[in-house]
Amino acid sequence: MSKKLLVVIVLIASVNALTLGAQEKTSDPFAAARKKGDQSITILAGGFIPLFVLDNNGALISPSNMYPGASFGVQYRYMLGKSIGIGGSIAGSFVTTVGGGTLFFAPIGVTAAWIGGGEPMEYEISTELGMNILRLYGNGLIEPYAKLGAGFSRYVSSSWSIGAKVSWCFMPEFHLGTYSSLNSYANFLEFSVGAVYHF
Amino acid sequence: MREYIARLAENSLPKAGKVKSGRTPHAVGLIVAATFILLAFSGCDNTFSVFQTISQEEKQIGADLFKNTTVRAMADDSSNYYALLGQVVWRPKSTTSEGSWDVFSVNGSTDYFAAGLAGDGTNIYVAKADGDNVLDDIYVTNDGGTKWTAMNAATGIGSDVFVDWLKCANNTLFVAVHNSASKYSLFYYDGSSFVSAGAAVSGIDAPLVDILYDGSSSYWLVSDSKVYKGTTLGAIAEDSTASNPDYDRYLLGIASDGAGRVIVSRKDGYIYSYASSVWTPIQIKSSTKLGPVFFLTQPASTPRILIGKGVSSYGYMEYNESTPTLKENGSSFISTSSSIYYSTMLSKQVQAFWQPVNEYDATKKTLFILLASGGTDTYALYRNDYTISTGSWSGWTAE
Repeated sequence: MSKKLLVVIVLIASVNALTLGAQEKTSDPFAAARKKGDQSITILAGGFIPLFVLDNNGALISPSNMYPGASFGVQYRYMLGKSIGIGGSIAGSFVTTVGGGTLFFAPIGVTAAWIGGGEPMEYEISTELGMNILRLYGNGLIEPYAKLGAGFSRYVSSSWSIGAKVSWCFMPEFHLGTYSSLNSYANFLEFSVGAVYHF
Repeated sequence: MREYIARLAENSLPKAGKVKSGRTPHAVGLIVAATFILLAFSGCDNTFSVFQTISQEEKQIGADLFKNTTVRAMADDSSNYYALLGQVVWRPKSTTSEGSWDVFSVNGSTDYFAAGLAGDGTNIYVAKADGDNVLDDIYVTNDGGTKWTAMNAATGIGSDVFVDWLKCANNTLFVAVHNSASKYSLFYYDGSSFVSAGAAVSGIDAPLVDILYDGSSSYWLVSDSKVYKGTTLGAIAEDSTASNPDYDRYLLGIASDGAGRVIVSRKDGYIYSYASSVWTPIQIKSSTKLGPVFFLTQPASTPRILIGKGVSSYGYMEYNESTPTLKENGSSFISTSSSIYYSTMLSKQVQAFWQPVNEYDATKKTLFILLASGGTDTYALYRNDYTISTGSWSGWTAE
């Protein structure tokens, strides 16, 4: 079910980007030089793969008992200059568990990115920090998270580009006092394709 | 496009000399974010670990027959387990559970609707009904389904009856029914025919919930409003003991320790305990609707009461009277971990707890939990084995 949903989301996002791009073709479709004040909104969808989980002592919790899931996100970016952008991100992800449960994530954070490359291809390295809402079996936690990612995108018009991104997601959970032994440090790999609207 | 947005942005900026009143967008954003985080943190449980809970989960592989359904009753004989869905399904006790359950052929047919199932350890009783739950007949077998006998139930009970449940208590078969006028009655089988269990339980307005024998002298019956009692079959009458749990539409379950003690669960979070001719209320959880109850005598040194939860999270609670302590969400006792409890019980309404009359493995005691798993795409029947020598439970495993 989740795989089918993922494929549908990716296809819709890609087709949407390409269609809108085609509608807005200008005489110079790649006139998209970056400068301070440029803004963009990115819609991403993809997979969310559990890598490994460490316990309070740094030992590997094995097996993690999690299966790959999917993710969806929206990001806003404001360019501070030609190569540096900052912004915000809100996303939703899930993985399923061996017992038939579903673990949901809703990370909300701030982002910073270095963007390089020329037209029509751009490359980026980005980092993201924020708070992550986790939900499992009706129990919720709010914990910090960090992402480090890299990706590329290609302009298909002056306003739209499409691309792909891979991020390492560090999602710890911290507990207080006598429950600090429950601290865990989970690591996921997020890969996604998306469409970017520049304005 | 960029020019348009730039103009739009320019027009939206405050003009020189104008002073914007009220909070700035920054302040509003901070307040919203702070409120959001505060609300979210207030729902956090410092004792609950997401990733360590998941790491303790076990893969559950049961029979597809039990997915997305309700198990309403169970019975056993020396060789087999039987479970009531829309039909009766069965498996040999000697096999592993996975995939070994199948539809039970009743009186030579697997094309039927079963309205009730009961057993006394030797005889298996199945009530067949039509699609509207109107009683066809009750059939009995004592050889695992090879030979069946029709009991001509309609003769004693009537033809305009809907079967609510069957139950064996003290080796006697009881049948709870109601008619099209929503009048509820209890019958029992006297060895040759079905007769009324008492004038007080014939044609009453309240649905009948369950009946049991207390192991001492009395049969106990509860409707959803009253407790009934009788030492003689056919003479079950309202219990008149002071401070009994009677209350309209409040009673949910009854259980006995088999040594004369009886408990009744209610909607208001109380169970009422009857011992030495006195009813005593015990608050299990304030203002919490309860469900079916069960006396668990393993381990014998610290028996527990299992109580189904009638609130939206469903599942069950475990109450240790000696301490006394209440455990929820699989945090102790018969659940080996919270994660297994969550992944097997959560959001499923408990129909009953059940232990077989005949244990197949003398070194163990087996406990089943019957659930309503509709809409969850998970199983409705789980088993938990208690190993007598070690005093430990295996944890819930899907049948």
